Amino acid sequence: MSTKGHPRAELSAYLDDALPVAERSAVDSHLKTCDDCRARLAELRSVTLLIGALADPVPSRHLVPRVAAAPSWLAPLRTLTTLASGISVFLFIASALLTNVNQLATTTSGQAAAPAAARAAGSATAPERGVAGSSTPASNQAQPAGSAADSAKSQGTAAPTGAGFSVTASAAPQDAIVRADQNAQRDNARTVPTTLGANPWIWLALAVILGVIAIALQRRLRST
Amino acid sequence: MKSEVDPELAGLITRARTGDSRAFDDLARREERALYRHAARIVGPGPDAEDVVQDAFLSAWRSIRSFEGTSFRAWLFRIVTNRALDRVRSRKRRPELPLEPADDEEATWAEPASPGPELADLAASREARQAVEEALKLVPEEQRAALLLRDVEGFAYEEIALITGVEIGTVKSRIHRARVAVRNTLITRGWRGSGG
Repeated sequence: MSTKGHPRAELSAYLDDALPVAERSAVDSHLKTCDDCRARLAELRSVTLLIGALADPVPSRHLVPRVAAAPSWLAPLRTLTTLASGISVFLFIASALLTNVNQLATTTSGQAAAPAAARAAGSATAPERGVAGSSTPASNQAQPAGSAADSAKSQGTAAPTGAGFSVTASAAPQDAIVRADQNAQRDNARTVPTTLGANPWIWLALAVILGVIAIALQRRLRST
Repeated sequence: MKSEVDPELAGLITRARTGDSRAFDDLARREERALYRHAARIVGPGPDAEDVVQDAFLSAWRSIRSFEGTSFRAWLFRIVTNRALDRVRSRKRRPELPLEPADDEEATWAEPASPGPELADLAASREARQAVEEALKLVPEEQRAALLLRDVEGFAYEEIALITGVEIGTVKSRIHRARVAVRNTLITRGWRGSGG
């Protein structure tokens, strides 16, 4: 326990009353007879008092984090709002794309409906012209007109057989135009609901709002 | 440990362990200043020491359910001491060899170069406090941490061993060497020992 008979390495522990009883008794005995060790002990005691009397350094800010003000649901809510914001952005893009595609499709189908009707009318009027030309000289040479009516029928027109050639033939193109228009309108009617499910800008606004909330929650969490 | 005798403190610890953040807040505020002065004397006062304490509080809050010791205060000091020492080590460019002198190796005892005021008369002197602060800075961090835990915070050797994670013999050696180092620095600066 000692160096050259002096318990110098034990003096601090002795001072702090941290020695086992036996060692403490030995140091006590030694101190009674050793001026040098007593002097050292006194200086160590002085150092201890000096250190204990030091002024406390003071922090420039509060160091206790605000764990008390941070509810446990804050982090899950932050995650949810972030996800919701992302989904809203996706919906905005998807909705905007659908709108554009449908607008394009509406324009295209509208443009495509007219030629289709025109083609239907044209195929029906051609026989009419043929009939008009051939029916005047002989009514029994009505076969071409009849075949024209059949061709009109094959294009979806319901021309009654036995009726006047000119009447039947002329009814077919009008019907074709009407049907083509109806088809175009029906196509439009089918596409409208998918685009009007929600205005794309609503999704964007929702995404922005949720994003701002998520950022605010994140900052709140970081400050704790 | 004196703090755990206090029933109010024990209640706060129990509540904090069950997730009561307000109870933890109360506990942390009680030790805020002490933890800062401890960290400041290891890493130096300022933002680094403040960060050490703040990080330690967050770490303590996150792991408070795992606290099963007898002293909450010692537990906090252990976190702060470890973080402060880590910061000092990471700050050094050259890793310092952790040379732990043998327990029986005697610390050098400097002889006074010239007569000066006695150490025992210095406690109230502002100049002396400044000299002691500077003398402390020259003490190796591990020894300084042990000395501060003893002489400033009043921990027992057994608690310091738990806080710093070393054997009690090492604690004894560190505290003694640190005291002798401070004494020697003061002596070489003109202070006079009681025997000299």
